[in-house]
Amino acid sequence: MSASHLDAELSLRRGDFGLSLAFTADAGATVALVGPNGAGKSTTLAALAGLLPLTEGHLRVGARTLEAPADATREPPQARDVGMCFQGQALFGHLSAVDNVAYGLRARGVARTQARAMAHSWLERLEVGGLAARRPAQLSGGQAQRVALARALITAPSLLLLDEPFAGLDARTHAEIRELLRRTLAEFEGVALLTSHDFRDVEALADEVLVLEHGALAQRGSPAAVAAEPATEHLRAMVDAR
Amino acid sequence: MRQGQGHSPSARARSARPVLIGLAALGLALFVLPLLGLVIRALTEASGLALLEPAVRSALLLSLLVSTAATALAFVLGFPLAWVLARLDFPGRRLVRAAVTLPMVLPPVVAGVALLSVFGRRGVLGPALSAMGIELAFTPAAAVLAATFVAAPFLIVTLEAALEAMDPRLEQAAATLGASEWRILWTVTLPTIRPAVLAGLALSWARALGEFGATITFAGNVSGRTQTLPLAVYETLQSDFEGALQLSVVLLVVSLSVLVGLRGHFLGAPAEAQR
Repeated sequence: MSASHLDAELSLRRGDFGLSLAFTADAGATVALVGPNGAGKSTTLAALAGLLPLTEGHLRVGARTLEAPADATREPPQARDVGMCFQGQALFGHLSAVDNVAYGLRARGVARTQARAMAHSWLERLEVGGLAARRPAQLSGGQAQRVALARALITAPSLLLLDEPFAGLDARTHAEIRELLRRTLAEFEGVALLTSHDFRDVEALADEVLVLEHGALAQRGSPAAVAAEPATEHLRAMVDAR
Repeated sequence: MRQGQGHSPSARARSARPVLIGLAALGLALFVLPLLGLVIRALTEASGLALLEPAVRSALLLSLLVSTAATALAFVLGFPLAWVLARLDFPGRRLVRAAVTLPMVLPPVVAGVALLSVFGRRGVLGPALSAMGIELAFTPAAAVLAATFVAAPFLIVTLEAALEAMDPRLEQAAATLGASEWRILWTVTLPTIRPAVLAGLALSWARALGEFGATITFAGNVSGRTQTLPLAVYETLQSDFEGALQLSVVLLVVSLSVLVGLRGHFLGAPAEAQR
């Protein structure tokens, strides 16, 4: 995997909602998106993944242009080299944990045995090696999140998108997953983006914070900098609640 | 004043129950008594050798072939229709859905006349088909087409509901993981809606097996060629009640074994669809 700089200028409309947002991030950086529900956090991740088309702007990763409406460039999600963890995990219910994790390699034509072996080692790395044969319905929220993370990371993406990775977890599991993510992201060479409603996650994981409101960037800076002078009511409440 | 009439609150609260339960029992009797009567009379009166008669065996075989072929055709055309209805937003979608579900409420004999008026020798497409050497009406293929026409809507409605209820993030996740659209269809979409697929196939197959009106109108009633089991029951009934009893029991057993064979999926389907 080559180290890849992210250059995004995202502009899109979706019904009444409009998103307009520009930012860059260096390879290895973790960027946190914060803001109230409806501010555009999930929309931003979906646009980066290619699940929603841009109307204007551009998206580049390294030397590669993934999307540029002006010259009709638009790579489909399949060709973007992204790993996405969806809110609620969205694991495939009919596949075992190991086959969920192996899915991206199988889609790339890796032989089943080899894909499963690599999936096993990713499950081990995320401390759920013993659950390889389980179906998603037999996993707890924290276990499912680990499997989803392994599934997203196994293809060594240049962009890792984590949509509310802590949603629905109890306090203890939340802290465990945060610590696991901290270690995992430290080794991750691409750009990681995550959304959270808890400022402790932001402080523990992010190098930079993008504060969103009504689909636009309200503030940008390091966790310490935005915490010192929160520009929005929502961020102030998040900082106070930490 | 109602409260002055001397009913206790609990009596007033309960008063609907006995009526509903009584009517439910009556309804159950309506469904069970005829089947019970059929089985009892077949056991006591019929000599039970109907299956050995060549005409019966060929009708049964034809019925199994026709309903299986019709269900396969219903899936090949019905899944894409359900997918288009569930996933694409286009003008006229409601009209398409109405057209696809119309056969569910249309009298089958009308379906037969409609098929004849298009595919019959003097139908709209008849001359063109004749020119290509294709004669559909009154052939086994016509029986398949007639059964597909009446049975496919059951499959389509079931599949469309399942596709709409499915979490869109599953297909999105597969796409971000690099899976092509075909791969997503085979490895995520169809396995995820598997209970609905099985339930829809069973419903469709059962409806095709029982098809009578459209078949006799469009495919005719030629013994050994287009005479399916329901048609054989009807014809036998004209002269031989005992024979009709035996054939009916054969159909009942075939239908029941489908229901029992798919019990887990079929009866479990409504609960799973709500997940």
